[in-house]
Amino acid sequence: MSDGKLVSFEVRASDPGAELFLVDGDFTLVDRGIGRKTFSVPSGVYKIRSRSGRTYADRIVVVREGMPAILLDPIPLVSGMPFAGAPKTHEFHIDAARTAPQQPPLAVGQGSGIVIVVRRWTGPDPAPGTALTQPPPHPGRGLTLRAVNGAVLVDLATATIPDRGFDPSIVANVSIDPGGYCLAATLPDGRIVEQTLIAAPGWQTQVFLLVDAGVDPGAGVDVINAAITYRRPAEPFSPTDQGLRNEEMARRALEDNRGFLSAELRELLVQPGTSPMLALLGAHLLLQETRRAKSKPTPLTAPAEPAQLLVRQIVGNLRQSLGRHPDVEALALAAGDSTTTLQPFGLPPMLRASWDLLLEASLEWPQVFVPGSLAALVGERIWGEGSWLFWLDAKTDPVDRAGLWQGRARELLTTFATSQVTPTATPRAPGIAGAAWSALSHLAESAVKRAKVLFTSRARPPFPKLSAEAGLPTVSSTATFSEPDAPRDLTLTREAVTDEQRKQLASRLGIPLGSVNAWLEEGKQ
Amino acid sequence: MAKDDWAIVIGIKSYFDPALAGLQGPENDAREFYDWVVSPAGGAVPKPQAELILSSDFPPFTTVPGAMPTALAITKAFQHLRDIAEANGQKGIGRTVGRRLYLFLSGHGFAPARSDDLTALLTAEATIANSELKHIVGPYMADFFWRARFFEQILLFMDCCRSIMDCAQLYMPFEDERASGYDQVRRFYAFGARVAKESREWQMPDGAYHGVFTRTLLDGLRGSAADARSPSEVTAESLRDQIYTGFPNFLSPQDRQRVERPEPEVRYEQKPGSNFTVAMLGSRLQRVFGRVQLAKLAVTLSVSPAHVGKRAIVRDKQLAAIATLNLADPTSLSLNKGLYALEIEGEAELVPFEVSGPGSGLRV
Repeated sequence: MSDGKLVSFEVRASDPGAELFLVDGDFTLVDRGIGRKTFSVPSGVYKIRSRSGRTYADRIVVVREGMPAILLDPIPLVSGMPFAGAPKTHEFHIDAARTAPQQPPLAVGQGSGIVIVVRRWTGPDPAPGTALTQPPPHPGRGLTLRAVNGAVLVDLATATIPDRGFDPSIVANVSIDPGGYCLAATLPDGRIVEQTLIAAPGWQTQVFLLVDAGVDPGAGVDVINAAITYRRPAEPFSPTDQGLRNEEMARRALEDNRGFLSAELRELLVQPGTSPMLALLGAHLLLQETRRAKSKPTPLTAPAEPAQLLVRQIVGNLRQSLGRHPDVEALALAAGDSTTTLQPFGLPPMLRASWDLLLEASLEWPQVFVPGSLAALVGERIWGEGSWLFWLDAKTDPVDRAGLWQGRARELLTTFATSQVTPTATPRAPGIAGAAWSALSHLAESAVKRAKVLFTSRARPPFPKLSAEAGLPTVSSTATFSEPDAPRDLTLTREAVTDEQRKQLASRLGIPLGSVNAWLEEGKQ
Repeated sequence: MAKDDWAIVIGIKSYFDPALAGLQGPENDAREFYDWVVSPAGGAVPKPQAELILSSDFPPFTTVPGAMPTALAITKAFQHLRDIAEANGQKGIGRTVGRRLYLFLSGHGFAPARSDDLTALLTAEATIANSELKHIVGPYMADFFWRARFFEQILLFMDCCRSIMDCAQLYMPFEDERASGYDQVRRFYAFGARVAKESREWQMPDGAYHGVFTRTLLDGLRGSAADARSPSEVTAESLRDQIYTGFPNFLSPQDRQRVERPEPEVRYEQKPGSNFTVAMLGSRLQRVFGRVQLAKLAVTLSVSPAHVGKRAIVRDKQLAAIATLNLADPTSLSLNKGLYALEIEGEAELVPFEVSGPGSGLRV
């Protein structure tokens, strides 16, 4: 039986970025850590929850004096990358990914490479000899690699499917000039979504995509959960590569705003040889951690060095390894890197978090995007969720996105116009006699108020019956609460829009300030 | 006292947009929560102070103008509380409306892309196709009453998806009102899904559709979330713990098999002294005499032939012996929710196990 004496024991997760939670016998959270943690608690029965990415595993343990360290098993990760033992992965998917970087390349340029692996998953391997009723759809259908001007460089629907009927995978190994490209995927409704892929000199940008047809046999490629990494061409994919697991976990942590940076990983991030994708994601996590710490009195782990210093160090390393890269430059801006020579962005970054940094930067530097460039145009067409930045191709999107945000901007402008605060005079400080009188009257006032509360009952009228008004179920019938209509002529309002209000518009609409300014100027003419 | 408590309970299952069809559980969930909140053994909110808004209260509709309840119509219920605050203020007794406000919102929902810490419930007139996401923002409404300090406690429960959707213009109809000392107001907000995730409903063994979150919540409020230190109370802390612990027990068999299992989210200020009683259990008499006990759960031990006939000791969370058994296959036990260990005669290692919901079991 527990004597109340504290017992210390260490818990080591298989992943250095796994979150650890210790829960007691009443299911109350006792303590938490990341990767490896020594807990000190009275002996008893406890539950350890470990979380890697979006998967968690529980282990119930008996804590007693002299117990050995607890080593936790690896947690299966659902990923576009075919990790060993992971769900939604066949052995032959692993083989395809392993050999992908060494496939004879399709030469579009030279100096860099983009490798795309797409695999289909419907379920576990069928019993030997089971015949397929019909051939599965091509995993690469609707997927193209494009130049920034929209020209199709590689159509993945034409990639050869190896001789295997069940859950096939395809590989495209493209030798390409360093620079920016777009990966485009056609949605079931015919619209096309795009994302940036930056090919860095001497690196392969490797993209792993899953077509999860387990529930919906007609499912398309899942670009939102794409696993993307940078690897040297000579470096084959390894299904047990802890570095790749770390990258995938970091991506999930960034997406879900969760803890990931253990002391070990924090140290790793600033090393020059660290994988570029882990460094990019890690730098964003450091900035995210700072934002989280601002909103909580005690951060989960107190960073040894201010995040901005670490991010600057990471930016320096990444510039060395990747060269000029929009995500790296967005980080440099956010970290206040003094070596940054302000160059407007023509290409959107790969990560959504980098885009958010650029939007923020646009509030102070409206020229952050090159006018008319892809980066300047995608702001109003942002699509989807996840860690990568996606936008809708204007040619296939039937919605007038510019009209949409401009309509909202008009509504906001009206709100600004109607909520002008009348400045109130600040009372002068009273003298001592005045202060004493004021205190006395305040006391008397509150005593009267207290007495009144005791003897006066609060109003308790029942709710108005909405159903009784079912005869007037129109929006206009509830005019008391209707939103203000936007005036048709906004010329006057536009002229009166202050710099602060322009910034508010940009940040509430998620549109770069430059675009907001251009629209306001256009309206004046 | 509960006579000073208020509740707004909303369940929307009918939407104008066909893309939003298919939800079956929101009305069941809202009705069930309403029944609990007005029940003397539950929230004990006086019926005139509890507003239940359901899709089926309104005629079927085929046009956007006919779709009810709309965001604007629902706002009337919230506005009613503001009117009461105003009336109280004019009486000179302050703008307090009551002790506690319950908000329960169930239906389709989303997290706005630019403010994903918020969660919005889509209202009947919402249409996805043209991005007309008409909605009520739950945390905004709750926070409005928090800042205005119209109540001492605000409890917000939202059983809806929190997928990220682009909605730049959030519907925030009230002007901010900040009362002095509003930081003293206690808040407990719980959501059926984590941000960017979907909530879950399924046809449960009773044949009806229910949200997993609502089922977990009500199971907790009815007793499974009783505070182990004070069994006659469900406290904010014990409810939070039970929402997290009990949620997997109500998942559909398919969702339990998923590697990335759905999870709820609870936001509640965790600092010393911030805990408060959410619900009382048992009758007043039972509470006075300390006769309210934690609910016992049935636990089945599946015993291997090698262990049949052996003696075993059941130890509690602090490893104190609480029962001695002669193992047979199966062996049935009745235990409170919690963590335990089984010490089997002749075995060096204790076997730890968990009792967190109906159907708990262990193989030894």
